[in-house]
Amino acid sequence: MFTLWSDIDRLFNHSFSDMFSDRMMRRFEDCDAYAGACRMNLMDRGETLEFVAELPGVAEKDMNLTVHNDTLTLSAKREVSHDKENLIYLAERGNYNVQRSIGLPVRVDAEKATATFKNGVLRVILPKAPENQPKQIAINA
Amino acid sequence: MSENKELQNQNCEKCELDQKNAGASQNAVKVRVCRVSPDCDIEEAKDDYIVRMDMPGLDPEKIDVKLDKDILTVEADSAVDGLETRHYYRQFRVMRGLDAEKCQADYKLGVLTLTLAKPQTAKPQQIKITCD
Repeated sequence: MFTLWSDIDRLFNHSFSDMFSDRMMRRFEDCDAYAGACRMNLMDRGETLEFVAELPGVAEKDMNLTVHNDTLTLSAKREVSHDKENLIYLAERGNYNVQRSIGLPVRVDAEKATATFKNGVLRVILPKAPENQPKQIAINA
Repeated sequence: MSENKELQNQNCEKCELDQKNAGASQNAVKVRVCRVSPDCDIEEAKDDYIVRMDMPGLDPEKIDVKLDKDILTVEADSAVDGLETRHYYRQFRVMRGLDAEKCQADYKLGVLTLTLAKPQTAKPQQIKITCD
């Protein structure tokens, strides 16, 4: 009985390579959190609205961004490919398909919107429509 | 499990609260930077090991990849304007004998790709048979 259990233990211990031995055990001792889903944020910068999204590994052709009235729509997909001849030890990064529609608090001027994608971070600057721009109020002392 | 203990003691110095707040005034709010473990893919090719990690929004000059005997450590600070600051940190136990000089690192579209060349001893080697 003892021999049988230790054989089973050995089977589970050695069925994976020792090369990256802690890959199955991502413990919270090492970190506070797992990376998690694509982070996004919409900020009001006074004269503009700024939308930022983390989209690692997405090619430009797989990204689509539209602004219509008060809604910003983002769609992006990422596919992970592995060489068929390679041996896979760990596959945590998956394919993802992000579809988000964000309601904008104010109307924006879509013609003047700009977007940049650098190092996996998408940043969209949406200038507010002229009627929504902050206006200085003169104080009569 | 002495192997695991060794990894636990490899503290990420940058995350020590004291260091972060060195020089800050007494009334300053102490902000703890979130240490995050990035998602990772590891595969073995014919001549090397390929490690890919999702770490968007980094300055490639400031990504720290260290190989200390058989421990590979990847860490970097992500300061994306508009999102909470993160400190990416992950360690792996790798085979001894990896030559850091022969390893390559590439950062594209927010994905860090490490190509670790296999040492000669890891590749199959023919043994010649001499017959009398």
